[in-house]
Amino acid sequence: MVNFTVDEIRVMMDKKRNIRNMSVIAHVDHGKSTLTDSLVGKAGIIAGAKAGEMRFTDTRKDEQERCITIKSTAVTMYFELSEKDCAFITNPEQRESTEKGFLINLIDSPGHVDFSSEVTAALRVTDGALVVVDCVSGVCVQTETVLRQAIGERIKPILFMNKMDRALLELQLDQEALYQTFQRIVENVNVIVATYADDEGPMGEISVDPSKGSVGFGSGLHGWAFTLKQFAEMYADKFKIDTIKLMNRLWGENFFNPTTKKWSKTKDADNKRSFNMYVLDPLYKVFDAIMNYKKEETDSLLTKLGIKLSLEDREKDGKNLLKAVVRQWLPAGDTLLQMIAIHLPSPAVAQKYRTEMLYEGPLDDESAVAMKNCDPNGPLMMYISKMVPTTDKGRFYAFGRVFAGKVCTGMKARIMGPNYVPGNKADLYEKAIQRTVLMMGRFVEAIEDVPCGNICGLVGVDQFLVKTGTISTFKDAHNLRVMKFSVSPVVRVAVEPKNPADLPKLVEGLKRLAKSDPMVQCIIEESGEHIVAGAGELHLEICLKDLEEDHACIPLKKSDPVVSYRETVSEESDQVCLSKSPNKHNRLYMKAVPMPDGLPEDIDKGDVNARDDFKIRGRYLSDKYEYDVTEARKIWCFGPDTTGPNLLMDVTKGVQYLNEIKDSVVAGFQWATKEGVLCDENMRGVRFNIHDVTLHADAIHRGGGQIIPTARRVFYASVLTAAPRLMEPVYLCEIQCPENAVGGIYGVLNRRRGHVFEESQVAGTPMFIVKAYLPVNESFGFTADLRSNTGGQAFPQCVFDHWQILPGNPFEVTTKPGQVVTDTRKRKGLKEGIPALDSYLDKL
Amino acid sequence: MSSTGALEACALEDMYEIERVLSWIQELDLKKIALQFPDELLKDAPDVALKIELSSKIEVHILGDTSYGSCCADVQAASCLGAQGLVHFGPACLSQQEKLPVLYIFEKVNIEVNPFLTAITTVLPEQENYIIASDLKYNQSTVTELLALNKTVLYLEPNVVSQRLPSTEHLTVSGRSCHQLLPPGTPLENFVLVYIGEEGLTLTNLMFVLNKCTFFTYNPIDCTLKKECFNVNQQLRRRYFLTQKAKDAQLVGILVATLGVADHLKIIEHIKVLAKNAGKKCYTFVVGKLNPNKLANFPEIDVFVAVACPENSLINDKEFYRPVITPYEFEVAVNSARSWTGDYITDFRQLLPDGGGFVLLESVHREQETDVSLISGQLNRVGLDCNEESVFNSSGDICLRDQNQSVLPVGSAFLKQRKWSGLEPHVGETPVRIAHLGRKGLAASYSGEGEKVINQDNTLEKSEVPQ
Repeated sequence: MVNFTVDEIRVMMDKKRNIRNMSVIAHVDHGKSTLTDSLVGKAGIIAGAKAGEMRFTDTRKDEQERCITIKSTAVTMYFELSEKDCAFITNPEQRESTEKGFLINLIDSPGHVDFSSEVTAALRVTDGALVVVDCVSGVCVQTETVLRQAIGERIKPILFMNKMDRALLELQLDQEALYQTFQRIVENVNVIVATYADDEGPMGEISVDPSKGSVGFGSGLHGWAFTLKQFAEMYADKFKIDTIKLMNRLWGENFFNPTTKKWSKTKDADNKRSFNMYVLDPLYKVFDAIMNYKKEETDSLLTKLGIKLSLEDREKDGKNLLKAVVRQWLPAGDTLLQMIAIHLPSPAVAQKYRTEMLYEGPLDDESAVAMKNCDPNGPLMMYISKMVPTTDKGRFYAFGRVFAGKVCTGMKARIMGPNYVPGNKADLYEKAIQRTVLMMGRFVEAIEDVPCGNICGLVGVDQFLVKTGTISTFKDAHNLRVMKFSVSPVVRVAVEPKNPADLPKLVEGLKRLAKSDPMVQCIIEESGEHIVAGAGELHLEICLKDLEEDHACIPLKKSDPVVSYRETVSEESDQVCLSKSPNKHNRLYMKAVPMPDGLPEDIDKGDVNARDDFKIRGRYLSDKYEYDVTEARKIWCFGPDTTGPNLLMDVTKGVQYLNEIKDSVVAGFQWATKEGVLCDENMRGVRFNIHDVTLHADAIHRGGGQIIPTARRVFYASVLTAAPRLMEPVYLCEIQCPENAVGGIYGVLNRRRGHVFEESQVAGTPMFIVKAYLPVNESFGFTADLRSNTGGQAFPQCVFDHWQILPGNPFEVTTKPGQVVTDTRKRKGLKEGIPALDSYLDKL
Repeated sequence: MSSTGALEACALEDMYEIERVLSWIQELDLKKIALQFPDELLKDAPDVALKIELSSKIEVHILGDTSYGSCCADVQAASCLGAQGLVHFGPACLSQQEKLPVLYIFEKVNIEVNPFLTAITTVLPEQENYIIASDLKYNQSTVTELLALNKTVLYLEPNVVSQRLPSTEHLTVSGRSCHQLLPPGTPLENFVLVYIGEEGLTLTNLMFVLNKCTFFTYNPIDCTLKKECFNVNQQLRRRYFLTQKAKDAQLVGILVATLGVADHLKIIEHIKVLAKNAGKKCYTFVVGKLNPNKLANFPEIDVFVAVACPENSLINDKEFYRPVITPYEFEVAVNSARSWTGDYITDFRQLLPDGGGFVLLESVHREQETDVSLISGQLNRVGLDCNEESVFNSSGDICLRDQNQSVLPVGSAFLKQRKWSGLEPHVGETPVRIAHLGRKGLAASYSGEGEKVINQDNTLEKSEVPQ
């Protein structure tokens, strides 16, 4: 059944110009997996008739049951393009001159926002993206998010308008309305693309254009699709006009008058839009004839189109006949293949401009050069983007992309984790790669070696990497940049085994879970609770199910979902706080000040970070946040974990021995910002100013033992005097619904402390989009609540957006933050009540 | 023990059981003894010492400040004095000593039997199985009367006389042993432990070790029996977190927090072996009484393992810069043959080869393994890294050390990231001066420090003028 073999694929792998690595991305339920089936069907992995129903890339049982993709899945396929289609590939780097075969590594990604991290991981290893948009609902939040990510990673997009069958059969749109819908989607996509990159950039032209053939139309479910190229080819002979020229005529403001046979740029009374006339009209006719059981008309249309039905298909009627006819007339697999082969870049092309985004090291070293040239003879450079569970419990295939060199079975390589720094041994392992494998959806195939430009899996590497990493043979290789996720793990659940003696099994399971998902965090809190943190409720639900059934295999007790809070200050300290060291010989004077809006986010994003040159950083801070330049240059450190969104600044003047205690104060700062004074949560958005320091003249009396605890106390005192507040995470929530449901949405949001900040109608549809901010803590059960209040018509998509102060004074137990503090302290086994100021503040 | 000023001579004699001390001296034929008092009783010490000295005609010394907890008999200090025996007054942890004979003298508070029995029958009418333990200040002979309950009662008797019971068969905890054997087929969960006394280290220790039992405390003064609300499960979870911290640690500090408890040297050796097998580096510290300031002087240490008597082992103070854990927790962290079962051992002697909780160290794994840390989310190396050198230089030839590839040991790697690394010499930038006499004495107060304040200007002038 499979019409290619591993050996054939291995031969193709060396032809880097004929390789396409691509991911399929879209909003949830826009039909990615279904569309992917068409390609998989063409490759012969599944039967053609089953394509559209099987969702081959949804390999997990729960994916099939819930009809939702959870993990991204890769398939490697081999196709041949016909000679005349090959002519469309003009760039010599896009095709080996005589080779018609193409190797397509396709990754189908999940659309639900909770699994965006899977999309990120898929994008990293591919060069092109097929953006699927449901032409009925148009461009949605997640379409925008994934598209933005793709452009950020320098992934070239092509567009596919899916679910045309619905537009024709259910909505019964007329031809012009459908054209307008298409036109708007293309525009919307190009607006997003243009926001993050322009056509003059290193990727070349990246906007999508139907007249160039980079936009497809069709129905994944019915298995048919076309681009203007298909129709242009049909008419090219008739009109005696070049296909490419005709494609340009078939889109946009081009009208044709059938009586005068004249083309025009404007709409007149007796001319028709060319797209409607030559593309939509024949389709509409076929639909009309078959769906309305006009037997004779159908037969004549079939002969006209040259479609010969099999005996079996001839028996069918209505929708089934329609499917069979259109599928034969405009097979989706062929169209998609052409789009992919012609418009998506080969690794040889893509790695030229992607290397600088990917590689952390100097761009002229051996690895960088080999990556740029996609050189199979260079040193191995491979990025592992995720771990795929094997049938062997607890072990994983390390899945990734070879950017340079060759990875072979048994070779020794350097496995570098995300914390590896050249010259250091932390996070570096030199081990043999046990086996290389091809990932084929639910199957794997062993393969001897894999050259650059390809995607594959490795066996035996999983124990040296947690989630991602770089594999190289070059001694001085730097890391490939770690991926940035668009979502954060803000929803948390505490788990414990039902039987306490199973704790080691749970811990083992958590470790496996941590590997198996690019985003999930499995942590043990200070209090000893085991926490699983995910992007949203659905994500957590899946993770916990996996944990219970696959990784730990023991019954678990789960807490209700909770969020983590952050501690911050809302005012400047009302006094300069003083703490004395235990020997009373050293005094630290400090104040806490809230950071200006936007700075903590800048630090999170890395726009302001510890590794910047202090002069540039100082200038940036003074320009953007009006910090005093001299002060802004004297940032001692960021915290917690040396990178967090709190600052320690030296505003002293001429203090003796100050340098000597810097390390101790910094250690105290890391400690205090990690375990805040209110309830041991991380601090956020606090700037500490060291105003003065008096130190004992003898070094022995101002060692770490004296300074570290004192620094911690003075940080706490500064926070307590600066009107401390709690911060909670907030979702940006986008809800799609018909107009009559909007009222219900407002009611639900109000009850949950959410507020709407934008409400707009999707042009050309009766749908409304409501955008709101909703505290994550209030979002549990939100989807269900919303459904019941809107009669199941509203669908929310929530993605973490920002941190927001939880209004109220945490010192008053009756307020919301007061309650949170009390609960958190109790849960962590801390002393009741926030410690009093005088336990940290000393008198002179 | 009440400490109300000068006691009448007979009261003193009674309270400190001088009779018993004298007969003990006679029995063992001691020539020189030491007396150890807790801080609050120290004021009676001269009188007691004098009395003993006069009656027994032997040399008597009073031990002042104890180096560690006052619950431990400070045999180290006593043997430094050349004493042949030690009399320990007041609350004790009853840890086994090996150097000297020790006599423990406790307070003797009597307990009435009837209120206790009423309390038991009203609060716990259904309960069948009891373990009874008491604070040492209660007269043990009256405590034994309480065992007249018509139920299964196990009594944890203080091991005042140094002796070893086979701890595999007998329940031994916190210096107390049960002389009866556990009735077969009755799991410990079915027992209720009634502790006579107030909250304190002893109770905490009992709760950790017997964490499967339900705890009740009986207060003999107001005769109330109440359920102990201290959440031992939460505490155990917290301790489990600390073991995970220990797994992540690169540098381990062994804190010697006892010099008296038997086998403390063996356990230190044991910890060193464990650390070495796990590829961790360790240092041993002797700092006297532990406090956060002292330990924060070693910020490069990731975790401290305190070797102390069972009652002082559980240190859970958030003020410490780095966590302080027990030898048992360290073993859970690094010895893969020992897993966390929920049982807890505070007495480190049980971890040693002839202790009841001994687990053979898994054979040293030559192959380096990794482990995901659930604290940092990163990978840790586990085990010895024997083939490391060959990894970096597979040919085995001597080659030039690559500047980028120099691999620093953990400790010096920490020092390398410090911003301040000592005074810079500024060679050639400062004028050469002839050395002159600096300060003398101890850092706490240098000789002449007081004077300096008075004629500060004077001294300053002097030091400023080069010779």
